[in-house]
Amino acid sequence: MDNVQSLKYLVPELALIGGILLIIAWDLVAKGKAKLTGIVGLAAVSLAISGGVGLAALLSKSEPVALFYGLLAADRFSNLFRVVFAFVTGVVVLFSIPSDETAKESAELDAEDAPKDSALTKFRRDPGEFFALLLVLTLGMNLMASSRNLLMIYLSLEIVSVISFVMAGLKFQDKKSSEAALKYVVYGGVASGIMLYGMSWIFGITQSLYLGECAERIVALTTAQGKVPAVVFVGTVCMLAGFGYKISAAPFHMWTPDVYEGAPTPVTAFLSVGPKAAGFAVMIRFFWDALGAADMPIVKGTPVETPWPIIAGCLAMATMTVGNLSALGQDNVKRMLAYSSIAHAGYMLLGFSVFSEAGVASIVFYVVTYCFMNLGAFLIVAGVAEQNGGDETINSFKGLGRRAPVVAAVMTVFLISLTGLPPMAGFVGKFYLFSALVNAGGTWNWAVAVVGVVNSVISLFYYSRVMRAMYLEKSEKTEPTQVRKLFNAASILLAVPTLVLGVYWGPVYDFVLRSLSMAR
Amino acid sequence: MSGIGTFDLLFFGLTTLLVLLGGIGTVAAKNPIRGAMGLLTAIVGIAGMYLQLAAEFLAAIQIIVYAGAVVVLFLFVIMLLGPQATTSAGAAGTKVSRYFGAGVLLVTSVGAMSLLWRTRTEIAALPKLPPGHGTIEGIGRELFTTHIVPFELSGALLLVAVVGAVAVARGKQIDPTSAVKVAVAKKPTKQASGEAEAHTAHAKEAG
Repeated sequence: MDNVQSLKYLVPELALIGGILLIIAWDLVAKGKAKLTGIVGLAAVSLAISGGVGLAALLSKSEPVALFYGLLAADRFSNLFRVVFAFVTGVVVLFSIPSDETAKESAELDAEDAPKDSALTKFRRDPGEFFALLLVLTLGMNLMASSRNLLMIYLSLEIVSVISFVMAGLKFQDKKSSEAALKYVVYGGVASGIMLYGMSWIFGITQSLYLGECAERIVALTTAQGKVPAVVFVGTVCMLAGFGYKISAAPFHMWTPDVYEGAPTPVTAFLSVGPKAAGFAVMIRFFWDALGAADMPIVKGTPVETPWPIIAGCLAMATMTVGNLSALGQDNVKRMLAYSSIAHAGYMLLGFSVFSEAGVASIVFYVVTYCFMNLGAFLIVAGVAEQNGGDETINSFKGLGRRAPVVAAVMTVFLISLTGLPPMAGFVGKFYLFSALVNAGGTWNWAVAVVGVVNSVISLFYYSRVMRAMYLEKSEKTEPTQVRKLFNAASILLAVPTLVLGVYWGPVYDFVLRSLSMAR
Repeated sequence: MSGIGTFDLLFFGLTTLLVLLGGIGTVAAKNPIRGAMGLLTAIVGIAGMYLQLAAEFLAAIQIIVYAGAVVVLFLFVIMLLGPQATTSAGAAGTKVSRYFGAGVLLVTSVGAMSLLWRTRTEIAALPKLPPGHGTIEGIGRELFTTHIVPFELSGALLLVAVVGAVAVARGKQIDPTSAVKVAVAKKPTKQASGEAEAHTAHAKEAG
């Protein structure tokens, strides 16, 4: 499809671009309180259009189409992720609205002990650029999920990375935030370099950047040789460095704890969910589309053995174990959640070990449930820390069960879901991942599944530490406390699907399964 | 190998030599200006490789942008910092990590070499290029038809990077009026802490 015709399938992205431009313009014109209201409104409207159009396309039975001569794909898979990204960014927009005190302090400009945790600290009087950058990030993630060309994959991934660096460093006057941004840049540069090198190998052997053409050539070579060509293996392993960096899989996870701890909490919540989901989207498409990992050519009656299950399984096991073991000793809840998000990337990688339809569906379903529970947990950490003068350690959670029963109950829902215990959404997500492994059978899959289950048990230790602090430990303060109403409402909004999906997940899972059709 | 003439081979050898020597020079040079010159050599070599690959436009851009702008920018920065500016090499803590890094690099490069050797037969000969490939017209046509999206996206990427750099850098500067306030507010505490230090120093002497 040519360029002009393609535009009508690009409405979600165009809505985001319009939102970005309008926010920048509004930021220049408006003054006072109207400024923030207008910016948040514009962001919300453009996200609603983006997600709404995606959802409409998902519900109508539209055929997958190749846009811009095959560079991008408009299919159910990309539409599903468009909806997810619009939702995640919408929650983060709510999350980033500064509290009244921060707004007042930023007007006065001299409160030295202002809560440092809001995305908009006192030295940041222009909320426009923060929200505009957030929307550019969403645009980049949308493009990641729909790219069918190695060049597009690289460019959209790079847009997401560059803005993530900036957002991680937005807490001015805070050394940790600057350190986080710098570490992020250095690791990001190395990872992109390795990924580009891998892409050049894939391009070298397939002589095409289009994933579909890559797949044809790779299938032809695999059939001829009876095994996956070594060049493809090298290229893919190098590209995994870039993907692994985005989803924070071990050994590319080193930046995660520092960045998640140093960045403003709304940004951390966003980074732990949005780019991670986008990373999984692009990785699934690459494996599915370019490598044809789901249906390997059949040589002499048996499908060709691929190295992908072993690589993905090793990555998954390493990521889960590193994340969970490191999370055990953390006192800072934000840092603990950072390690836990590494562990969750490991669980999702399990689905790559069996790259069947069920495996992919379980990954995508897990991504959706993970969005709800992880965003919610970070939201509460931000809310509680705000009430305790920016204290993110476990101490600020002590006695919360008595002082703020609703907040504590909602946090418990998220933590139980993150552990993967019934009756929460996290349990269902994990159940599908493990059952995909077990149904596929084989010693390797069983071994990987066992490591996954053991890891879930380990994770119970550190999640329950927070629960114990909330309900069993006493704090010096006894008076009731309140987090901001906005945070309260948003976290309850996220807790509802976390609970409902744990009991009644069938329709959503079927929906995800049906959304897997990709342009090929 | 039949399609490659002696001149092509010689030219390829020359450019490879330039790139390798330039690369080694960049890493090994103690003097940062010599390092930048090594980088320049490598860039010129790569431009030669582009020429041989029938990408004349890229070769010109390589010289104009990288040799002309980027290396000059490096030189400016080096001059601003002073040519004596060096990294804190040789500290005790970094020695172990340097050896470790070198070891990891050695293992991976040996592995990569062996893989390269194993895959030498898999890379097929490159296809014949259509006429006009790599010229300005050819690139322009590609850029504004089939590849318009990546082209626009790279523009957006660069713009966003600039905006981000400004956003991060500008935030470090406090509003001048508030800077005065902070300075005023801080002064007494500084004096107080200074006095406290003096007190402890006296106490130590007395002890």
